Amino acid sequence: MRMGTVIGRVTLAVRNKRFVGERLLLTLPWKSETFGGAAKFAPAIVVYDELGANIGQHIAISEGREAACPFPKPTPVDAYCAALVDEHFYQNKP
Amino acid sequence: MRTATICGYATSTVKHPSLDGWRLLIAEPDSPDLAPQIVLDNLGAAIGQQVLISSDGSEARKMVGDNLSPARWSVLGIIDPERSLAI
Repeated sequence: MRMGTVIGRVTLAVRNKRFVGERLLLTLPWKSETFGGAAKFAPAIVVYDELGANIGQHIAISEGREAACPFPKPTPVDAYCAALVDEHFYQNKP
Repeated sequence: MRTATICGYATSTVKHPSLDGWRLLIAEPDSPDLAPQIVLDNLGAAIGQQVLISSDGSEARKMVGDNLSPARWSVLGIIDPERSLAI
């Protein structure tokens, strides 16, 4: 799971029939430099959210096939908000 | 599978129920093409240690015991630095 910062919401006018009451977050995934305090991010992605993350919050993004696992029926999701990160500690590699 | 260094940890209150009680470590892969990942650990890896991580989600789902878990990365082993070799 990559860490990410929520920067916005995406709202659909017309939706895939598998999406019901979806909440989509525009999120900047973190890079290595981001953990060190630099404002450098990977390109923004859209993340499916069921936990209620707010703009500005840090989240853990599950990507790939695992992002669709929480859904009992097959759902076309490739990025899923798995956790709202309260705090994190990071120190550079020795 | 990647070798990575444990560089920190994350704490979370609101999370997918399958992640309750799990240590969430920040692992920085030794190859720079992959961003640092939050990984599940049940081996007790410490900050500064080199570990082997895997993106096998089915193993992660077995670890947490929930088929509907979004978990993907997990620690497979802690590397013995004295008996590992890189040229």
